Amino acid sequence: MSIPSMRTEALLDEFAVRVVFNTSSPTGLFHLRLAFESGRFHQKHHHVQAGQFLMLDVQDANGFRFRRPYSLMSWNAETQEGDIIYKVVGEGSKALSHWQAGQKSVALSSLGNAFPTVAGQNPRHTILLAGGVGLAPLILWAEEGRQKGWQDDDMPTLVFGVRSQAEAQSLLPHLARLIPLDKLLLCSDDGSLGFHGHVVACLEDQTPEELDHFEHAFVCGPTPMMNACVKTAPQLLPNANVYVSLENHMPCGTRACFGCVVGQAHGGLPLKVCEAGPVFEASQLLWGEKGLDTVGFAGACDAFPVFDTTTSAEGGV
Amino acid sequence: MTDFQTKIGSLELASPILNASGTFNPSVFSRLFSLKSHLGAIVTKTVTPNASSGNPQQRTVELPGIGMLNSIGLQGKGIIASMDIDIPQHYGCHDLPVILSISADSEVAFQRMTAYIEAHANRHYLQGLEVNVSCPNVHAGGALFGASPQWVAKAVHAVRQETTLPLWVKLTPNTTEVVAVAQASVDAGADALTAINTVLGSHIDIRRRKPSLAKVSGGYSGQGIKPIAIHHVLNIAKALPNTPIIGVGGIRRAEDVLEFLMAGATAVQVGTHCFSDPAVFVDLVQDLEAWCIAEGVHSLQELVGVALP
Repeated sequence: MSIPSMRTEALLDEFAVRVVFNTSSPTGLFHLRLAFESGRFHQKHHHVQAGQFLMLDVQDANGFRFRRPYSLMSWNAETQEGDIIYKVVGEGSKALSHWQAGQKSVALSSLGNAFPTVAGQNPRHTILLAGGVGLAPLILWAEEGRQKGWQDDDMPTLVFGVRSQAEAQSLLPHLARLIPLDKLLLCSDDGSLGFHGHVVACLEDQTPEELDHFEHAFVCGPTPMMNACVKTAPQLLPNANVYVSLENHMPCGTRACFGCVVGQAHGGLPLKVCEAGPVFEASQLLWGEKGLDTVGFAGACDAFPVFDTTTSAEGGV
Repeated sequence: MTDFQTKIGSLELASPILNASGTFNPSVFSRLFSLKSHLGAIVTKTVTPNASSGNPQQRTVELPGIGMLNSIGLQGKGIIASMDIDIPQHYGCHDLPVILSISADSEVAFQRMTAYIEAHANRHYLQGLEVNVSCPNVHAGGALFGASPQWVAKAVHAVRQETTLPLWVKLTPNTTEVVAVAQASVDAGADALTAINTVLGSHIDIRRRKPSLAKVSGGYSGQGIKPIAIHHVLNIAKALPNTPIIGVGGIRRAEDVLEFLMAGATAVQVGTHCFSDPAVFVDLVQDLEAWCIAEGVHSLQELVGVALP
């Protein structure tokens, strides 16, 4: 089985964006549509590949905020409109939730790498594991496939886990347009939609014959959900290369701050999610008990030349 | 056309606007705008003698409206790999002077690292060193080098004796002796002073009922520290009228640059605001130009120190 290559980064620019609509569902899931107007420095048109992210300026009259990283769930190159789904989880998304149609801002885009292509292979052997708003980059990947001409038979399988039906309600028509119903596995924590349980429990409910053919698994969702998927994949998806798209706290998104780093499984300095990711082969990363290990990377410097600072002798190192 | 040129000791720069160390990725930012047209020089992320994986997560905290805290912990590849790869590939290719920011945990380490730089530097672009003394001195029980005039003097002397490159010292505000440390730096051979580094700070996550940063405390930067930085620039400019000052702390608008210049800085660095707005340099240059035209100012250097009491 060949390992698919990550696609190269699209051009970077700072785009003027305008809110087309910003609606909330009863469970607090927001759906934001942004129109991308021209780039400030180079580009007339915005380009994005599934997996990449943008840094959206959510500053208001209160002044300084970091920009916030978001992945598009849908992208229409003709109208230059893209959709974001989000929940209010902190100060940035709270500011975003107050945006009205017509509001203007800027977004740095596109940043980071993309999901691997499955060149020469059939995407039907790919399974997408999505938790909550982690659905966004995965469903864009499926949308890109449809635009490339994938038919129902070609489409990947999607397992989509939510807390309750209300959370997913507004997304279901969009999902149903992209993923054939026999390849769409819905699950909810409270049992109000599809399978009663989380994404991994839903996988455990399938027969090995249904899962053994998957060669790739793309995972995006809350850290505990991604952790559970990665830990159980060797048993449940024994033939799949597992990729995760990380949603780390990311101050700059421009490889400047070193605030978003994750540890590497096989040593070496921590990697910037904004530079080496956000899509990683899961086996590349250092996983702890509850998720990504945030302390275990201390001291992982063996790959670099040692500089002797202990003596004051003259000469080289 | 306003004259933006400035001089920091023997180093002539086309613009007084620089980036602050550790807040700027030239390879990414240059994909947006020309660095040469908007900056006078590029300051590197601080390089340490050996590779360091930095601090555990969580490393940063947003402080809405005022700035941020960081405890990155100088993650980097060490001086050998940095000089071989990162400095030429990311910094040395923008037709701008590069100021290499260095840090170490002992005088000997400072000295040996400087000797290595002196032997391997590409002088075509590497045109100065900025000594980051906001790091623990292993021979002083881990207290900051920059907190004591004596320790700073030793570190700066160790660097000075190994190089002829222009030497800047980046002062920490986390001492009651900022002016004494500034004086000691100059006496030990510093050509210029960068003021200020981050202010020690902490933040509690009330949901987890714990400090937000894994290392508990970190460096506070951003617009909230600007009055502290201006205060120190004024004091240093008054005490050391012949020493160039590079002002840094909370700059995000042209008005902030003007404040620093009028307080006595001959150049400025933009740090934290780069994270939330990489294109800030383009706006700063445009807005400064417009302000100068409106005010009839022909050269930014006319403004340096005009507000000194």
